[in-house]
Amino acid sequence: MRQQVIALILALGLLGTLTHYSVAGNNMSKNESRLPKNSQEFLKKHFPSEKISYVIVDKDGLQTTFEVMLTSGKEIEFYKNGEWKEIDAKKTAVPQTIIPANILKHVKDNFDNDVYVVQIEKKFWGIEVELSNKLEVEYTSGGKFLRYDN
Amino acid sequence: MKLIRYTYIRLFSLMFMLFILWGALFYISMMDEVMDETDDRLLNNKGLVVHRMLQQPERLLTADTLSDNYRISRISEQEGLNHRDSFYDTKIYIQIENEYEPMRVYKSSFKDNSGQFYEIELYLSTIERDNVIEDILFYLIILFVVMLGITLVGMRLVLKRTFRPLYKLLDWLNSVIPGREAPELNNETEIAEFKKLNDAAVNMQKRSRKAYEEQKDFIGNASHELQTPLAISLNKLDMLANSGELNEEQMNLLSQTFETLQRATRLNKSLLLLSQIQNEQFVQVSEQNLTQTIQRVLNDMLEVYSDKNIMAKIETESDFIHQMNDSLAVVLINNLLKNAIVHSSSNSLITITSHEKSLTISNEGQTALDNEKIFTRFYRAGNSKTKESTGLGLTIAKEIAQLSGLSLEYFYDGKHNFRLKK
Amino acid sequence: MKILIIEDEKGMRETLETFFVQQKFVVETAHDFDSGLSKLSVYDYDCVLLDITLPGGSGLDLLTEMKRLNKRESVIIISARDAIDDKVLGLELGADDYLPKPFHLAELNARVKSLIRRNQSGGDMSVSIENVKLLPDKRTVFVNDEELPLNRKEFDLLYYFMVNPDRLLNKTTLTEAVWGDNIDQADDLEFLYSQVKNLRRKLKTAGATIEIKAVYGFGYKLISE
Repeated sequence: MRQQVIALILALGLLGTLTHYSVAGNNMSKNESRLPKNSQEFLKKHFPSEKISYVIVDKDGLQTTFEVMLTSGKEIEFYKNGEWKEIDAKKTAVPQTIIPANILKHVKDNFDNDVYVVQIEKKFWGIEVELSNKLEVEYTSGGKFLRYDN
Repeated sequence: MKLIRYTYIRLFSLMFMLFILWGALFYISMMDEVMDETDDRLLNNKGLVVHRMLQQPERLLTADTLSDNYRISRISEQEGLNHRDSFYDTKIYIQIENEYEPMRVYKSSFKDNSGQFYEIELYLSTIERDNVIEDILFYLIILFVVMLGITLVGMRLVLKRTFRPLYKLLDWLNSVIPGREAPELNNETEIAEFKKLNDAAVNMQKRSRKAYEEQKDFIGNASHELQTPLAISLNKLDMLANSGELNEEQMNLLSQTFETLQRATRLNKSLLLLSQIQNEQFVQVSEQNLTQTIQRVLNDMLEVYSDKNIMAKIETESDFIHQMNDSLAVVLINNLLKNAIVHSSSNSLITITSHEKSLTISNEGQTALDNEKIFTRFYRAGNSKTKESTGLGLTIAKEIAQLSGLSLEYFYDGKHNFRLKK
Repeated sequence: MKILIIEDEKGMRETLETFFVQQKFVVETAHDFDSGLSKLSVYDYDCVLLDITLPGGSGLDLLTEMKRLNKRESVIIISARDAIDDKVLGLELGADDYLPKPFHLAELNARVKSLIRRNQSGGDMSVSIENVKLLPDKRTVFVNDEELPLNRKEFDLLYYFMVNPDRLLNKTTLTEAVWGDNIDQADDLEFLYSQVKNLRRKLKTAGATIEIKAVYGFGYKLISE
């Protein structure tokens, strides 16, 4: 009993140190090359004219993500496997080639023509989209409309 | 060490260790979290500053901008390629406040559209962070003390309650006197083991009481049944001695036999007396002045043992008077005095001290006797295996004292002391 | 002198019978309640020795019967049951003495003689042998009508010898008789020797014609010269 309790506490403590944020020691130029191939291709394809300002390898606990700052100020975050996680176009339009067709259609059908997507983020429950009119819309991973979020 | 105390100490040390471990881990985690919070903010600030910088480079980079929150400077490509991010704590002089303030610094790099590398240093005051850490530590210590205190008191209460039946049983067991009716054991408990213990103790008490009664009866019956055969043998020997037909050698043999038989008779009488006392056959009580009884008996006793030339001294502060059976009073005093005289060496002194509440008979002796054994049947201390001792005298004295509501105790203080106390 | 011994224990009964025959008594015996009662109702005795536990009834009941029959014999209860209750009850019912078993024959003898003397007409309680006369009540001794001063123990000793004349008395028996039950554990006999020695010297000096004679290691005997 006593040993088990101690073991449990030690395990919890260990977990605590594992989740320690780790950014220090990042080398910006080396990080660029550590970006997964498909992420690099993703950037080339959807942001052909943009250059990388810096890349942060973010080891937050058990999850590793790559945060890319483009020289235009846009921020793109990738999963470890290279897939995009979040695109923040900083009030400019997120390239339509990235946005799932269903969402694109929903936006087009429900808003004025001058409304566009400025930010898109994958969540565990689906996809969250921020529009240029400050409205936040939530969809399922399949792009089905869920709700408006104020 | 008492069971409760032992358990308490063991549990408490475990709790204390666990609390300390938990407190330390909690503190480390909280520290970590707070540090992360600061670093996260710096990281976030970097994003904002760099974004603004990339949008409006000329505004931010007018001659190596140094603001309160950040500093940006151009660095060569070589430096940029080898640049490593770092966080560190430092103190920075703040002119307005005219003092040094603790700061967290994040040193990083980025490049702009043209491929120019920049180094960026971001600052964040850690006064708040340090305050938060202090607060956490403060509340952690308070929580630690309070929790420990509550656990301490709670554990004590629970343990006390849990073991209460055990202590009650122990008290009861102590109150049980062999041969006496045992008091009722009212020891209700929900704990199965204690229930069993209660039952076992009560059963054992009943069995031991039964065995005690049987033994008492047996001794009584046996000594009773022996009286007549002893009487016949003694008297026949007496007749034989008086027949006048025996020669000297035969007479000597007869004398020895006679005396041995006398001893058996005395022993038997003592046993009978003991069983009579234990069966409480001496019910009539009257006021007995034991100090006077001692004075009366002492002279006879000293006469008989006159060859030992023992001196006796009676110091009377006040007479020791007690309600008890008269025959037993005489037997009690006789046995105590005889014990003192027989175990005294020649020319020694016996002191009798009489107070209102106690009566002490002391005789000289070299070593203390075994307090546990002297009052048990047939115990003879060391070299006192004399012919005249039946080994029952003190046992009888003790029984009489007990029956008469007195306590008889032995203690040694350079002398052997037997003390009767009310 | 007629004595009735009511005792169920054969060995005891026979010993007592032999002893009292030797003491020149006319002895009759009974072994149970009924035979005891029938003898008591028909004859008169100077003394009755009565056991308490008898086949057919208690010796105490026999005492009650005697009272009913208006018999005035001296009764000594001899019992193995040295119980206070028996003693008290027996004496209340009219017994004259109570002697727990085991006892010495000399002791029983002394008590029987004492009782008989008390019941004799004329009230002369004295015991006389040769030229020595002892008055138990006044605790005085005369040799040739001259008073012989004796201390307490010497007197007790002489009395014991005089009621058991010509009997060999064991030294421990004497000690117990003189110093009582209380000092019954004494077999430190120095004191007895010195007391007897003093008594002998005093008797001799006074010109008594009786003598206390030591018999081997066993004890003493009172003999006439």
